[in-house]
Amino acid sequence: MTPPGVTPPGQTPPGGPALLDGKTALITGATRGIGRGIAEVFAAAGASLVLTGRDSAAGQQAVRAVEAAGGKALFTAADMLDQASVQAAVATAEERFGGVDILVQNAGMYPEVPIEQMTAADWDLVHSTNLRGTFFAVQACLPVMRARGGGRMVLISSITGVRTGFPGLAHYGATKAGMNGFMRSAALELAPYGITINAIEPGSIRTEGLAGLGATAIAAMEECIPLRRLGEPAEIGAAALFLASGLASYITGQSIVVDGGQTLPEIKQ
Amino acid sequence: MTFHGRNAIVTGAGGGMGLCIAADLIAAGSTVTALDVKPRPAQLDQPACRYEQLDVTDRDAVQDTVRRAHQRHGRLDYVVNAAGVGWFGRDRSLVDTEPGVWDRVLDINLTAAMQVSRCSIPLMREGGGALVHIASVAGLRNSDGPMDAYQVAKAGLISMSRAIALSCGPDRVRSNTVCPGAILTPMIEPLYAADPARRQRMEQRTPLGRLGAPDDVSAACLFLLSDAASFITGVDLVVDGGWTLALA
Repeated sequence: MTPPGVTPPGQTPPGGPALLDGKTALITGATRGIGRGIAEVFAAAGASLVLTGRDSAAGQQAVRAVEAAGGKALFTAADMLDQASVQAAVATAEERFGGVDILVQNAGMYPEVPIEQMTAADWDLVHSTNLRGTFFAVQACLPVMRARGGGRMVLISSITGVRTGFPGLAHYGATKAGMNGFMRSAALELAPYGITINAIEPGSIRTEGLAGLGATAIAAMEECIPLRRLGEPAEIGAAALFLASGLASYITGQSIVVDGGQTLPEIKQ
Repeated sequence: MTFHGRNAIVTGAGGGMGLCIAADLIAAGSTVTALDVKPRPAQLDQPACRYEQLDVTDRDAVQDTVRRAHQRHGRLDYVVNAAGVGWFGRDRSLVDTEPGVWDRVLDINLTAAMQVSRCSIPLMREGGGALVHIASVAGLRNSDGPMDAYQVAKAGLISMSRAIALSCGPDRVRSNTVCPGAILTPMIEPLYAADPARRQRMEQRTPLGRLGAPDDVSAACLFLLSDAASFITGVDLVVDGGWTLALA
């Protein structure tokens, strides 16, 4: 029951640069940080990429970086708040590359605000972007993947909300726990179409946002991580690549924590 | 995901998932020391594989084998604990299980993996390394049986993996489990052969509509061992076609 066009496990040498040859991947929020890291890994694995985001200049930069490394990518502006723009991104992928085989739903925001000061508008913006946006992206890709006889969806969730809490991120944590909950029902609905959907929960990853915290704060974070270092965006990319490939054809509705063991200790180390 | 120049130990390599993992590691460039109480399968008759026919619960034999596996190649990068038994019929609800059966299932499925790990980890500390333990969805939920000793051993394996991940992380030794659902292996084939309706029921209960293959488990195992999973430790990767998502 391996979806057509996806190499069954065992027939490909595990890994290797051609894992996504001939595949088209739509990656949301791909202009920077983890999304951009995923784009670079997927391009190196042979996929044609449709990158979305709100910042066109940063998007074009990401496209140039992929092209400079020999990959194929285009950028199309999309805002997760705007369902039509998400649908348009899928339509662009169909026009330019003939469809979508892989969705990586990565776009999201994490503005910190304590519950005491949180407004309904703060709550709604984070929920609309992260959680309702996930629903938009999954729904928009569904008919295209169904028509192709299968597909792979990967949601970029977080350890925050699913496994741990973080002061100031109650709304964000709720959306990430919500994404995992959404995924489990989606997995059951999509399985008959040969579409798998899984999540990744990154821990502390070295992104532009995190670098802003400063060296002392980062050193303190590294002390709390059993592997004693931060993760790299490419390491989220590598996990997404596995889930997006034929190697994971029997995995659906699962979430892989990629955190260097940070959530393992019983108490903060 | 390349394994060239790496060296692995795989227990339970005499058949099923362990055999598939050992063969895939060799195909991907690794050398493998394979352990099993069963005789060597023809598939592992190749120069990159050293086959040691032994009982994994024999602590001295395991310690000696691990030491020699390291010595032969001057390094040890990976350990896969795939040895395990599911004793359908004898391993039942704990109320109905003979204490000797309980002890033996725990010895083979859990304590042997502990012994392989404790002998191997000090040898992996020079260059870092990774362990993968083949547990089961039964270790996260309940087994279909009941098969309580099996279930408790697999839950123990999952907990052991997390303990290793936490304490050995600073030495760049990672530890994860793969938790397979219904996989068609020699362990379960006789059961399905005797009861085809049971097989059909399992297929129908699996959202992706098929039983798993040893290849599915091996692919997940190789991913977790590989450098592609370099920031992943202490996780349990369920490979079950969506089986445990749905209420039965």
